[in-house]
Amino acid sequence: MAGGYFAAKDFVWHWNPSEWTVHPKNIPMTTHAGRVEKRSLILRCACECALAWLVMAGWGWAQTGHGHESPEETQEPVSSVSLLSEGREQEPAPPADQNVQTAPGTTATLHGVVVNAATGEPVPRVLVRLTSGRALGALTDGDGRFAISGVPTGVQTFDVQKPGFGGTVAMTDFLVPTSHTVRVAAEMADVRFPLAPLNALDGQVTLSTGDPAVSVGVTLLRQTVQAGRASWSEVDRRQSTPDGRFRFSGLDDGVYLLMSRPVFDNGPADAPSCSGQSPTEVSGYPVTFYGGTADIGGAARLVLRGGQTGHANMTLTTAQFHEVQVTPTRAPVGGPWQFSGALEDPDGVQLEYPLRQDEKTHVFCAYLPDGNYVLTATATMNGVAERFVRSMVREANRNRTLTGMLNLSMEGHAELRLRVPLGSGTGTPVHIHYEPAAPAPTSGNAGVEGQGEGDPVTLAAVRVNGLGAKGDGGIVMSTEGSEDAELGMLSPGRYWIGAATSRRGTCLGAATTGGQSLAHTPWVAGPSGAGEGIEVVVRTDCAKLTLQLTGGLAGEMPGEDRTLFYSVIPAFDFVGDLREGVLQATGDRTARLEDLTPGTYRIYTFTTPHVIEFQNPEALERLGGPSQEVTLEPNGSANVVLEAPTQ
Amino acid sequence: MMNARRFVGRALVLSVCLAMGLPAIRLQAQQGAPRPGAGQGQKLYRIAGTVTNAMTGEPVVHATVSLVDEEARDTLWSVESGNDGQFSLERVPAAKYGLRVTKRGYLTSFFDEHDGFSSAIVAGEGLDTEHIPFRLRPGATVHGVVTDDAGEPVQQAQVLLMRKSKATGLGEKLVRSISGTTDDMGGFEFWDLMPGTYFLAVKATPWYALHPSLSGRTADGTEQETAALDVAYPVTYFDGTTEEAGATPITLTSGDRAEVNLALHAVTAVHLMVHTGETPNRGNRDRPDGFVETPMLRQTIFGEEQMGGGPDETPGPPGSGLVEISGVAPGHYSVMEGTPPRIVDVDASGSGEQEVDMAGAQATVSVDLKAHMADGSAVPEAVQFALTPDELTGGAGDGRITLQGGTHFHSVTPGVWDISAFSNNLGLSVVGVESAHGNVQGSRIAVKTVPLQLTVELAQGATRVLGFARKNGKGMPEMMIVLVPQNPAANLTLFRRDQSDSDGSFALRDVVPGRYTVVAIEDGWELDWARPEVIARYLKGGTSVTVSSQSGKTVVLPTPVEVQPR
Repeated sequence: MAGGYFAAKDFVWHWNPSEWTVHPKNIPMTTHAGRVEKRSLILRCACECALAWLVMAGWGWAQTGHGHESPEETQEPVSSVSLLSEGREQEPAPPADQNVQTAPGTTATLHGVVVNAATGEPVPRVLVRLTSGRALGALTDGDGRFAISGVPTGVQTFDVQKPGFGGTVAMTDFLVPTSHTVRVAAEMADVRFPLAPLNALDGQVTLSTGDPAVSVGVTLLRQTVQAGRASWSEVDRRQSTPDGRFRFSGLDDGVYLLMSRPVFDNGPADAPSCSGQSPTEVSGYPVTFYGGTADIGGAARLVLRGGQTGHANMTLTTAQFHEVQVTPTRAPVGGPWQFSGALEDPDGVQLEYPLRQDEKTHVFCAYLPDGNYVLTATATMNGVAERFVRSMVREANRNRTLTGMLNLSMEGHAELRLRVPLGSGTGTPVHIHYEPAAPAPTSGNAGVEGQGEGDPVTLAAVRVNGLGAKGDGGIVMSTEGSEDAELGMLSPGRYWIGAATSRRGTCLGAATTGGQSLAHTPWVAGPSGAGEGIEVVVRTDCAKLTLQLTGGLAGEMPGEDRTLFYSVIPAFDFVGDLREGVLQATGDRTARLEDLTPGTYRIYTFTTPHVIEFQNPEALERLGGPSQEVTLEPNGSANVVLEAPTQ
Repeated sequence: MMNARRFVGRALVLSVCLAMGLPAIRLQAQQGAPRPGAGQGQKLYRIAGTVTNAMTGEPVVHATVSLVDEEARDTLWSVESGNDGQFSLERVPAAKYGLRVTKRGYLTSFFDEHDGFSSAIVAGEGLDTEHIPFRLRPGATVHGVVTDDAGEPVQQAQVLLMRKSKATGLGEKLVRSISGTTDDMGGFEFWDLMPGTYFLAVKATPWYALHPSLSGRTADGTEQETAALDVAYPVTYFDGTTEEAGATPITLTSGDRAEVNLALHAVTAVHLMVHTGETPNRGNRDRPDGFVETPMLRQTIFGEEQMGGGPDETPGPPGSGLVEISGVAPGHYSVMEGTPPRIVDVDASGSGEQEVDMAGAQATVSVDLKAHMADGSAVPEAVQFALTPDELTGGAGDGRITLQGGTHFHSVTPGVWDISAFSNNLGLSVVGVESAHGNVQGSRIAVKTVPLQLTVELAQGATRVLGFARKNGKGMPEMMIVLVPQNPAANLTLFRRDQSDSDGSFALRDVVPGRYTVVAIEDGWELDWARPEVIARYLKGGTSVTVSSQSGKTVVLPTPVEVQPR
């Protein structure tokens, strides 16, 4: 059972008629798909399902919910266990989906109660439905109780749904939804399904002019954890109604920030025409954070938990916006070049003041209120307009992308003669060393994205204040065949650098800048968008770790399955991500983790998924749950037995 | 001043895209300073007037009043209206300008708007541009809450708001005003709506619905608890009916705030058992045994086609030719299946199973299309062709089909269709259609039971027809100007419209070669101007014009067009 739950880069999404499922990219689907299709980790999908279903049905292999990797096997129940009473099996639970291995026609009634995970109180009118077979389900009564008859005995998964409930927990790139794995038998105790309530946030926008605050944009940011560090990412956006109200719902427990988007006094924000004919001054409402500040540092934090509705009223004050025109110099000419611009504030907050670009002169034009800004201008050769997405490595194309960065300050008047020189090769050098030796050359597919044989290291940069490029950091541009790479330009500021290796048999060693570990020392981008060089060690003496769930035949007991969430956290300087995953008594009882950096780790286990800001010592200290330590020697391997949680 | 193409975009901006309206810009200081274009020695003029609330007559203060470039649509000058609603744009060079006013809470509009057309202001010698009465309309709002049988809010319900429009000139049509989904409180709110008559429909799925396949059920039948959840919401129209014909109109005047609440009632869902048959003689499909092409369920709401989104499909046993569509709310549908598709109309009613036999389906035909330009030039890239039910003959029943960059409509139902062509900013028109079967008149084609091969001749509307609307010897603003093609019934795509500007001038854009009559009608905006029998009585009082491929960019009408009363 290779694989298990590696970092995000190892996985790819696949369509399933009714669910999003997760499969590792580098493991042949035919042999392993059933094992990694963790029932507890199946993502529910929303309305896209209907389309997916049609697509799949059109291909003629729409099934009714069994694992799709071997549909022919699901047609006939396995008869060898059919004589066992109440569907109980004597063999240890096989790791693959075995909900089909039940006596034909043997069904049971599942009784249980759904409770509010925050208050413990029963929740009426919740849908509990079987998701591992044909559609079966029931609504809870006024006491939160339900009974579903006709459930085939054996291991089944149930989903618990109610609008306003069902928060998901993001673990690395997985969302852990509201599903439960239950070994169903004729005689079994009632199950108890906790259901997390979701939060909402509403508020009122007031304008200083006294005008109705209609159609003002507000954006909600939530604190999330990336590579063990807290960062902010956009959750949702709204426009205020004619009476200035807005409302966000379906929000997970967490810490939030709210910001307004720019608008003019009498309508949506717009950019000047670039023709020099537009008015140079416009009156509007600048970007403002909840709490009344223009900068994220002074923004008030909104803590939402336990199914509450938070309230956040905002007052916006009108200000003068001034025209700014920025001319890219050394701009390439010719049709294939495409230009784009992005605007940030000095903290790295992406600003949505409309930016227009003249088609002929490539001059950028905008209306901006007083303040400091960073404009990044990019010229890209047509056809290689890759998006800078974290964990996606771009093909080296130095001479096809030109970038320039300008720090500009608006102070009470228009700025019509600014220039931003475009250039290439102005990023930060990244040197990659192999220890103890370079890996054996791989054949085929070298440099092909997604094959795991591309760039040796991927970097991501997240601002120390938690802001990145919409949560995604910068990216390494590497040169194929060479181990010298480049970190693309980043707007000035301090960044935490995260790294990941993508080649098989390699793992991340020390990452430093100026002799300091990037695990403790933020990297600094200067005014030009570049900073001191970065050294990354890629190790080829990686270790293996096997995690095993104990419990003997405990997994055979009827009732809800015991699920153990594990997090393997390095106790040494490390800028990569932690390893985490799930073990289940009836499913995957073993996780084999490969390509681990040698060193000492703490393995934490939980019965509920946790998001761990492991680079923050205080957050690590606060972490509950049992843990044990393991030291992995270079090229070594270790076995750790994890105690199954009691029911 | 604006052509029909712009009208479409503008209508969207005004009524739909709340976020993406037109710019609102205020010039704070130095508004009297010379601007580019105001060269030395050039005579300068003043454009001034008062912005009032169209409903109350009260002045609208601090509204942004802008002059907009007629061609590029860029904002050139802006001022704010004062406390008395008055505005004044000084030192304006002689030219034609769009006059636009924006104010939060009001509909952003150009001067004297009708159907997206408006009257531009012409500044020049002897023209009064200093007493412009700009009546600004407050936007109307529709809001409400959608609840279910338990009185709980229905989240994620699709709310569709349609508005009666006469903009096609063929009578009242329902056009989509806006759509959205309900929030966690079941609430929705649409604002910046134009005054008019609206209809509202809600489509939703009970969040707790389960649709076990009947064909896969066990011998002991469907379990009781689950059967209770095999429910669906029929499409529900305001005020609570599930029959489209019974929908109650919502009349909005400017500034109205209408509350429209709807309660949805879940009913037992229908399972459509679609028998696709053995299909031995249908096409040359190379299908694996037991492979059933998925039937598609289609439903129209106010003439708009809705696809997917709800019902589940389960194939029956291999070789049975059966597909079960479960979770279907009672209502009228059409089921489409196969290659080429067959269509059968279904009234889903009652509960439980309902058989649908595709053997009785109506076959659709394919329509192949070859296009060329009338002037022999290459056909522009990315031309879109559309088949629209011909409205003069009552329509073919189905919605519009568009085809992008291809030349093959694969499933056209028999009927009369109108064919049109679009390309970005090129003003293409269909000027001729040829078919081996001869079933063509102008841009109309009659589709029967055999596939059609069409040759379509396109022309780029390269010419602008300029003229003046005159009444009692005086230029008349705000008149509806219609360019009527010969044989209007067969040439709907050749009609052009405009609204006369402040001095009575107008410009009909994108006119393709042909013979036309230009008419000017006072208060004509309510007319079904594209109906031949309606426009016929104005033709005698119109002005004839012939546009040829040699006409160049503009054709100026030699005499003013006399304004006719409606």
